Amino acid sequence: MIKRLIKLSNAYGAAGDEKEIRDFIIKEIKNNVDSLKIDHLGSLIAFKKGTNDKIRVLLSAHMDEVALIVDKIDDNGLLGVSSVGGFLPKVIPAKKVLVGKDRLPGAVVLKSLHLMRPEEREMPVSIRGLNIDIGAKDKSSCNVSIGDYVYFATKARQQGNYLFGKAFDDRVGCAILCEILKEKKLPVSVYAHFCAQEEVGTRGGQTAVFNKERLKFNLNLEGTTANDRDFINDLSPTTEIGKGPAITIMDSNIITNTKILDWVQAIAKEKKIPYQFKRSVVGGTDAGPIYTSKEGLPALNIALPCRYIHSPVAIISIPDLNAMRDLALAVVVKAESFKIK
Amino acid sequence: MEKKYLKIFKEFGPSGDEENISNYLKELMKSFADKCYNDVLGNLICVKKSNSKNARNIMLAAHMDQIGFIVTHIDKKGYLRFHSVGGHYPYNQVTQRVIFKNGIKGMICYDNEECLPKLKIDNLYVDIGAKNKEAAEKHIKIGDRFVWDTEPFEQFGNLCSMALDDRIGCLILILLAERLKAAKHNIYYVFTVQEEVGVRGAKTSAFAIEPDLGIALDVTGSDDAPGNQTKCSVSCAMGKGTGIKIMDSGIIVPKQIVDWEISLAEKHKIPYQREVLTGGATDSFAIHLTKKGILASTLSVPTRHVHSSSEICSIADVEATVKLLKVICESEKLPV
Repeated sequence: MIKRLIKLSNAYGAAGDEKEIRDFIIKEIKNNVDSLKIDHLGSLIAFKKGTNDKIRVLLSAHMDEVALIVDKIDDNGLLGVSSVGGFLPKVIPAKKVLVGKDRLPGAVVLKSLHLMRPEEREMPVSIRGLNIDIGAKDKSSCNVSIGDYVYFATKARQQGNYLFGKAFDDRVGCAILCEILKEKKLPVSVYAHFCAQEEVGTRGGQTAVFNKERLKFNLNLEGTTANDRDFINDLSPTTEIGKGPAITIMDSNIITNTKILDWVQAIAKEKKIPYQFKRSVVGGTDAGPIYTSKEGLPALNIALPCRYIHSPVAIISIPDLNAMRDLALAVVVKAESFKIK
Repeated sequence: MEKKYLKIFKEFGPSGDEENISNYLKELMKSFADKCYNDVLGNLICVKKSNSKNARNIMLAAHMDQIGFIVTHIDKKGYLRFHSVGGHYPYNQVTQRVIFKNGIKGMICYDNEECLPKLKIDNLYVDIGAKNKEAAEKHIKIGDRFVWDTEPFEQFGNLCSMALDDRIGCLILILLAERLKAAKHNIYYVFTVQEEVGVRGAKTSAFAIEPDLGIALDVTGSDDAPGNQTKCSVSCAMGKGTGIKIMDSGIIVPKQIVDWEISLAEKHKIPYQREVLTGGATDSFAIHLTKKGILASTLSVPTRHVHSSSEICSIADVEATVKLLKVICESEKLPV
């Protein structure tokens, strides 16, 4: 799984440009599922029939990562960008990037210190004010079009029990879904919905419940914020890496049903899988639109704590990743025992 | 006001934990409905079918959840950090007494004087008087919800409660169900969940019911307190009749419905006000955008100090709302 996650992390795919991720996942799982299709949003939907086909679980994870998009090309060949998904502007400058389909290497540049007026040095960074230099002579020869995506040129690497890399949000979810689909036989049927366009407003999740039958519940797998510092100060934290996957009780678009919360905790305790709660209520995931789609569907979000999420490099714990896979698989295996009433 | 009605304002039910209030409302409703059930999200749906051949389906929605708080952290000394469930003003929380579902009580305090000018929920904590973390954890878990601990009361013909929003809508539905003997239409009394976090219960219940007409019952602001204390402007004031919604941030009520409601109010001499609210929305927001679109509106009870621990409304306005709603449900023809 680590190798697959590293490949997924190194691949490029922002909202609306998920093809590379989708093709990689198709290659990984095509021999392990009964059907595959791609919907109008670009989400990939795999179906794997289980021993009991009367019960089907909707598994979901989003393929897209946060990235930039070219929205301006200056006469001198410098590029202007907007963000596709949420970035703190401060994390963007002075990074190596790859531009467009040809992955032209470039850099997010700032004027050098010497050329800035003293007050200019103190000014906050805005994405609008950033430029990307790909070394082009001028506009006509730069070989870039408006609408080309720009990705951070981060390569994932393992260091001890940790992985450093980009796009763990939400390639960890994709990697774990692939693991589940690679199981020989599951006791219940599963739809694996690899969502498109989560980072621009949980859009893949809005269509995920439709055109599917006999759904019992949704398990959404995500990456989430980790902030170990608040634990030191004994204040409201979010999650801590190394303490297991985080179960969401409430965030900006879901309040998790207490029955499913109790049920998943009982499974984790029985299987001795470590877990924690996501304790901040900010951020939303595809589980939000999924649980309010149609007549409503119980949904559960389990997320891997990522330090420095939504930046060119994040850090995750490999034991957390393994625990999250174990918990997700146990939830699917025990799906028949879940009761909403 | 009868004790059984006042109890509606006391039952525990912050968004996502509406079990207690749902059970109580079911108790009050069951003799007036053909069937009562809870759906996946927990909405309480009570159906009363009509014998009329031309019966249409009317969904009446009042949300039973109240704004509250959720525990996010228990520190070593046993103090609780928390977040809001629904929209809260941080200043309204200072020194409030609060209560958990299991009866544990506490008090909201702030970190220090420095944080007061720009107070945020993060600067607040609950003191339940626990000796330390372990003692607190015997009774409180992360994710537990709590609400203000205040008693409802009646005074000068007004009603005061921490949960008028929207137990007053629930009361209106109960009073209607008691009085509506032979409705011309099939009435779906829906006590929705999770309105305060984004009209979520109304979204799924409207999808399942797919009514011909949806009416939400909710509070709105009241433009008659000193100073400019509300952030949004509203065209209604307490004591001047039921608010017939024309527009808020979630819905523009179709003109034929507004006109119809006003003509019924005038015909039956029911006091009403035209309501335009610039901030806030109700369950009609979710209902009218369901499936291919559903005609929907809201009747409002003008309320002072909305989202505070003492919201105040006029009982005469509640009475006017019940009367107009009854006339609506008894109308042979709907403008749909």
